[in-house]
Amino acid sequence: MNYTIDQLAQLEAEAIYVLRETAAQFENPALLFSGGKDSIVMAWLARKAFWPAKIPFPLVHIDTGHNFPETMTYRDSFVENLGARLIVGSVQASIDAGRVREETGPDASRNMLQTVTLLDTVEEHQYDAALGGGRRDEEKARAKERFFSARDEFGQWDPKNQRPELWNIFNGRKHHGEHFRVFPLSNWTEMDIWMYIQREEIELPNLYFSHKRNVIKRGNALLAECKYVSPQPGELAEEKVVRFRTIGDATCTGAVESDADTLDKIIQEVATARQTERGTRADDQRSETAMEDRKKEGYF
Amino acid sequence: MDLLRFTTAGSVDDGKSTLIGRLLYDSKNTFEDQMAAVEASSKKRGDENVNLALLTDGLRAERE
Repeated sequence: MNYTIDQLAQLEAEAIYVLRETAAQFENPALLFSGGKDSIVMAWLARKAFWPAKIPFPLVHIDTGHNFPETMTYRDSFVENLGARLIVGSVQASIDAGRVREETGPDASRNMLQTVTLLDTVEEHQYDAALGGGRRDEEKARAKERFFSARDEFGQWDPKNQRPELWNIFNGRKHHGEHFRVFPLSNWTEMDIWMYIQREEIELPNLYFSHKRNVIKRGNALLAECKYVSPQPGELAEEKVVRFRTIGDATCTGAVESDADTLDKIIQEVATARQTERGTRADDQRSETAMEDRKKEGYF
Repeated sequence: MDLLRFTTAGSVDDGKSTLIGRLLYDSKNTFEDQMAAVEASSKKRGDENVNLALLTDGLRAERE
């Protein structure tokens, strides 16, 4: 009898273990759901982890108000099929309440503002653990974060003060007011996510598949023309056949030219990709340590 | 595909990160934008060659 399991089954087992450990160690966890492929896979795993019971924590969406409409439609139907509870934290509400000030200029993005809304939502609902779909292959700051990532009372991450994680022992002990970010997908890669989506036949927002769209070339990125992104002087919106490798705020998520309209073709494309998926994210390109700096402030 | 777990142990400046960076580079597991970023920061730091340790040492504190 052969008891070895393949790498997807190993990663799945690891993620399910971490999800169950989170439910066991914390009183009031929440799962951060953006509508992107990683959080979709994480929610899918959460359902498996607790099946046939319902997911014992709510899905929390930090809504920048600048989403692709496709993401919102998908979110609502996905949450309904899952039978999960959805909590929405609105960046617009934070702006209206004067908690944050909106950036101006052509580069303006609400990506940074999410941090304040996220921390406010965590505080309002008294969540003591927030599950995130971050992966270590995504970004160099994420690569150094633990599965159980302790945040101080201001939600800040201190890379120099992280706990050892030996074997399968996770230490979720915390002081009052502190919370944890938990990353069950830490060891997954972009390719693992796609292969898992194919294996489990998970439905995805159609933004991930190739389609025709008006896009604007800005810097190295192709931004979709929409209500929140319009051509600046000297820029031209062109129709191209594109798909998105990551989905986030419409103002900072770049498309890639691609004709991959099926999962098989996407996996082919990912296998031969020579750029990382975050190469299309304007939010990471603001400085060399943009992600680390945002994480220290409380970003996911 | 198999999962490879790889560990290094050694003192400060022994070359742990450089070794891992070199293995990633030689096994073609680095992406163009990552290499471009590493090249740019090597140049900025005044390193003579491309410093492959920067592939794994991404945090501010590790670059000090």
